[in-house]
Amino acid sequence: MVRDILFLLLVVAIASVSASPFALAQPAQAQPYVGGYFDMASTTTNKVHLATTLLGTDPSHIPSGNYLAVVSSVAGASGSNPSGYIYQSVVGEISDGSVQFAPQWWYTGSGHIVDQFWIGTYSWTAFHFRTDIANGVITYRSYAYWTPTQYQTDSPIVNTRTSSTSDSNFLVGKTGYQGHLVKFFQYGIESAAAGPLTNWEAYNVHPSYYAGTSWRYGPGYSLGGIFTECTWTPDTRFWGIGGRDYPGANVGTGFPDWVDWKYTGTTLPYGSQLWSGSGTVNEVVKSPYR
Amino acid sequence: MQQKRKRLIIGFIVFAAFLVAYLSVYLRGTAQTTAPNGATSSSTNPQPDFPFITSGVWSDDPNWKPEPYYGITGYLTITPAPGTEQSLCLMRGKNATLTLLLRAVALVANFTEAHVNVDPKSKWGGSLEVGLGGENFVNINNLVSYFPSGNLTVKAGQTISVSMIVATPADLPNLQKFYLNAVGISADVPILDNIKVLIYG
Repeated sequence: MVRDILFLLLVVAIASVSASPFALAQPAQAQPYVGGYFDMASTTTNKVHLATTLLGTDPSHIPSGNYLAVVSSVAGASGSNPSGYIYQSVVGEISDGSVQFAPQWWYTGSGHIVDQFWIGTYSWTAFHFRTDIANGVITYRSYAYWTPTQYQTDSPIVNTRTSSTSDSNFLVGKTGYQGHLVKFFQYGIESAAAGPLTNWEAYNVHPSYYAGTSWRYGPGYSLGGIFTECTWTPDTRFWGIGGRDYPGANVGTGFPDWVDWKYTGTTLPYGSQLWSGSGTVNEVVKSPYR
Repeated sequence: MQQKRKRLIIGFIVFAAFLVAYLSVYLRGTAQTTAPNGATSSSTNPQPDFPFITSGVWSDDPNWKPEPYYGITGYLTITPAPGTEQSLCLMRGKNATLTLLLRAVALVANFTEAHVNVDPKSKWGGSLEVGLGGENFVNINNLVSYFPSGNLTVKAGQTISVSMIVATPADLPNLQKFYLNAVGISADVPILDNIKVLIYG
């Protein structure tokens, strides 16, 4: 009898493990990603902005073949109806310390990297990047400030790339749709693989959207893992960013509309408040907001 | 009789075990997950039922290539020709020439060619502006011309040489140093632009 029960327990254990969702592999394309969104009702806009400094990440901490990318993702739409297109501006630091800009758009899992090119090094003072939509054109801009003096005098080096679109506007904020919480504008950190990448730090500064007369931000909450739905396509398939946890990613001291993403070894729970309240962006430099 | 009772008990335990296993998977798959701020996400599948896009940033790994599963079938690289200067001093009233190599790289067999537009005045090819402070900028595209220019077709595996001429007007204001890339070049495939020439003067 005892032997029979032990056998049954073994059967139960095998059945449970073989059917467990956690025994299944993640999608092959998934990459570690942690970020934030504005916890507010969705609204339309034609411009989104994000800035960063990568001074906190010595390139010696980035293994060859990996990168630390600061990513702005926004959903395209016609009015309040998302089209399924996602537009991304990506500023990535790689292991030789160079910083590259990679504007790109995505639809149903296919990507188009418009261009990828060198815009500076991790030791430069700051990088702003902005994505605009107008008259069937997406405009991706990077504003690189090489030195503190360039920042003080607001003298950036501006690179612009474009792609065509059938969308008429972007969406920001959140909405619930068919059981999914969709976050239309996301700011965050992404890497090719999280395993060997530790001791990094990168800011998300002034993630914001243009509200007609001013640049604004909403309450900031964190996202990541499988909680990254950014839009859906007409076939009601949802599309998210990254797709894997960024293990060990957390935040340092933050401010309203600032996130100090950094590796601490303890992963920030999704849905954590990054800052409360909404407001108008207050920034020293004006060029990225003009 | 005792043997029959024993079999009955074993049968019941087997049934209960599989019921528990099934319910644990089903409930895990359909559970609505609530984040601390009340954000909810639910799925009827045991793992995420929506796919993810990734940032697709190139790395410095020489063996790295964009993945065909992103829908990318080929791409265009722009590199400096061997011997090209890595820095350039702008001489007012004079021209300088850099040689760019455009190469189409196939990731899948049916990628045959890249269609490229070489035109620094085109709104699709990208631009570079250098700040002078405040609202004043110099548009570097206005200094650049190419030969050949216009619409070019680059076959998969083929490399085309393009001259980039930087004309510096005599009245160009002093600029902060900056890095020049392949402005004004667009393509129907992703571009990996490796041009990085330090410009000063």
